[in-house]
Amino acid sequence: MSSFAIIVRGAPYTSQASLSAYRFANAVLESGHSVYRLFFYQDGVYNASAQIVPPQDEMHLPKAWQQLIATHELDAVVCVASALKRGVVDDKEAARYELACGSVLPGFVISGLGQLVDATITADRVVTFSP
Amino acid sequence: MANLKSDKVVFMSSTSPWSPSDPSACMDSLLTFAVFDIPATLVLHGEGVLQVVKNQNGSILGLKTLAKTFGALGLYGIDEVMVEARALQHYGLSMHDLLDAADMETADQPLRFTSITPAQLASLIADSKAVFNF
Repeated sequence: MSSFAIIVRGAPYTSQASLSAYRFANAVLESGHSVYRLFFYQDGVYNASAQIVPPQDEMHLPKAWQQLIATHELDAVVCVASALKRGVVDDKEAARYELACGSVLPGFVISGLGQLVDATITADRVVTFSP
Repeated sequence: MANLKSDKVVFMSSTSPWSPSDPSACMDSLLTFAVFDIPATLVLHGEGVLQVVKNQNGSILGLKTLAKTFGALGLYGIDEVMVEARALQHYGLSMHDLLDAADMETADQPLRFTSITPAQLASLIADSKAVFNF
């Protein structure tokens, strides 16, 4: 069995990257492997946004990620620099920058690129999903 | 499963210097790996070679110029950047067209650009733990 670091660089609904990453993560777990960390980078941080409301007949990708993270107790890290740039912030960052409110879904953790380094070195496999 | 490969990491950058965020995201990641003393190699290929062509000025577009960022790589222990030979040829460039110490405003050892062939690139990738494409 292998451990995977999965890097998501695409926003939901703008490319195949996010959905493919989500399906891949599910397949990894269903196959008995483990996910060491999910790392959301660049436009991938939108997957952690609590402000996304897709039409009712479409898959809600951010909530699907959230459920997967909760079910398997995954470590899901959102790059802080990418997130701030794109308005995806937790309550702490919102207060720091005097923004109206946080906008990240519970279950996602905002942190730095050091988490990407750690995941790359620690996991057996690193798989990136780009737009 | 034990890692069979080294902890070396390769960053492949194939976007033009004025792409919205990929060159800077690539550089941010590269420098973070360097800070943690993880051997990291930057390879510019395709349009990416245009990132290190001299005499560029991003301020005209309201953007950062990458030259100074490349000049700072030495501070992070990175003294060499690989440049795809075929891409240089494609754009009619030679090594003389690439950034020099004056462009990079560095007083330290200037960054060295090394031309890399497809076979050498394949070998570099095969010997690395992970490859990141930007």
